[in-house]
This record gives sequence, structure tokens and C-alpha cells, in this order.
Amino acid sequence: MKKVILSATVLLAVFFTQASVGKKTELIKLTPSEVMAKVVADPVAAIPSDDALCTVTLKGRIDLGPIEAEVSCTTSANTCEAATVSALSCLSAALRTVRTVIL
Amino acid sequence: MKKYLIIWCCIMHTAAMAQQTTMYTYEGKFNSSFGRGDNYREFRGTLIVSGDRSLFTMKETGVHLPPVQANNLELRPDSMFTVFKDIESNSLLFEFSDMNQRTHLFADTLFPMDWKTSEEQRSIGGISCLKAVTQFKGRRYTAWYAPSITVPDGPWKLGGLPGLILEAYDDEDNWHMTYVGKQEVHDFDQDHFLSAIKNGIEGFPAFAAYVKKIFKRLEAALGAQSTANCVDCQTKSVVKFHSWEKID
Repeated sequence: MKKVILSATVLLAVFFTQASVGKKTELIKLTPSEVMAKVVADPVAAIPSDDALCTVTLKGRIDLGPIEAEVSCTTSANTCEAATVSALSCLSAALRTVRTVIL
Repeated sequence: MKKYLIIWCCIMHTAAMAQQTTMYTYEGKFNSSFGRGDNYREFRGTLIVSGDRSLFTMKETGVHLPPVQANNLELRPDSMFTVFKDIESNSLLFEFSDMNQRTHLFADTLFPMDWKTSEEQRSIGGISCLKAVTQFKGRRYTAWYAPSITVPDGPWKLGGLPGLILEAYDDEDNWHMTYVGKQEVHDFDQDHFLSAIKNGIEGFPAFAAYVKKIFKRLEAALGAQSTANCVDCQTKSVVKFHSWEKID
């Protein structure tokens, strides 16, 4: 079974922001100040896999200047699409968690 | 009469010198992906020196485009590396902005660096400088200081050399500040910092504990999140922390 690993800092927003919304960059205002969550999409071609097991890793950064937290979500699924959607869901949940902490 | 006039002149001169406040301006860069990649941004640093007290801070300049292949939650404050120093009371305070954009002050040791000086010379802005290197909080820094400017200070927490540091950078060039000019300014607001010193302030170990606590909570929250939207999926989330200053 061939395992395709997609390092996907990328694929992520693709499905949601670019495909459905038609925007490349989504800005989510977190507070009245200048705090913004930036989800940047850059489409990357998924490598087709005959045997269908696909692993996708999405990374996000929480930048506090001299201190940074790096969050990565790695998902394995039968299809790359399912893996991407799930990894994206994981990363979105991570960002939501941070927003909850903030707000 | 002449004697009193001389004394008066001396007093006035001393008073004038005591009130003199100079702002040294630096330009440079900071790579917030230090040690892991390139995410350089340009900054302008200002070091305002008034007598034995100084305030350094650096603000981002220019337009920054976020890295294309990344998901960033940018919570960085608009001023970074902010440090207040008071040589007379041997105090150093630094700011930390949390995820709520709230600013916290912590104390640190004033000029603990063990500088290794050399005779190597170069000119910065037409001012002759000497080279010194040191190891500080997990990084090796190089400083070029001007013996002709008798201010034992410098950008961020650096200082303690026999002259103002006009250029400083770490070995990997993730952080770099270079002097570009100076001007006389009005005094800066010191009350905020002085009252913090007076009321007592926690030190670097407390800062380290505070940062660890924040990220532990974050880690626990992220680890507990559900991925129930995909039955066949296996998801693992990992949180890594990176700090410019080494936190044990």
C-alpha cells in the first residue's frame, strides 16, 4: 500500500476558501484591534494514490513575536480529500481554540 | 560675585546635561521563524537615553506579505523587544505581550553578558567602533560599540560595554540592528516602569513559568479536540514552542 504524504501547509484553505468562497485569502477579525487570523491558500496538486491511503499534514503558526507556537495536524485517510478535510478541520479547531483562549 | 556666577553656571550646565534626552535610531530585521526558516521583517529600533535610564523598542516598518504556504495566527504586538533599563538602580524590565495582547512586565538581570572584546575596528555612520562578542540566553551575539559615545547601553537587553552599541546581531543573523542616526527628544514616560520597579516585579524565571503555563494550557486544549467528522481518519496534532530567549 503506497503511502502518500502530502506536506500541506497548503491544501488546506484551498478546498474551502478558494473553491467554495472564491477567495485566496480569508481574514478573520479576532478582536477590535489589529489581531488577525490569516488563512492563506496555495493550491498544490494532490498526488493520486492507487491504493488510497493518504496522509496530509497541515501546519499553522501562532506568532507572538519572539515566541511562537507551531501547530501541526497530521491525518491519514482512505482518500487524500478526506485526509485534507479532516486535517483542515483539525487546524481550524486549533485556531478556534486559540481564539477561545483569546476572547 | 564672580565665584557665585561660576557656581550658577556649573549648576545650570549640570541641570541641562541631566535633562538631555537622546534618541538613537536603528534599522534592521527580525526573523520570527528563527532556526526553522525565513520569515524576515524589517524593523526600526529606537533607544531613548535619558541620564542613567533608557527605553528600547522596535516597530515593524514597510509592508509585509504573509508567507504563502502557511497558516498564521499573528498575535505579535506592534512593538517588540521593548526593554527599560535603569543603571542607577541596576534594573532591567522587559515587556511580554500575551495572546490577549495584554502587556506584562518582567525583570531581568542588567547586563549579565560576559563580553569578549577585540581590537577589530569598523566605522558605522562615520563613528569608529570596536567589536565584542558574547553568549546570552542560548545565542551568540556580536556587538560593535563606539567608545566615543560613553553610554554603556545598546539595543534590546544588550549593553555593559564601554560605549554605545551601534550594531548588534546574532550568529545566524536572525536579529540585526544597525545605528542610523540620533536626535534630541523630549523625555520619555518613565513612571510606568518606575512604579513597577517600586511595587516589586517578578524576574525571568517567573516569565519562563508564565510562558510555559500559557502553552501548556494551549497544548491541552488542542490535544483534547475531536476529529469525529471523519470515521476512518486518524488525526494527530502536535504543538511545538519556540522562544527567542532560551527557556529551560
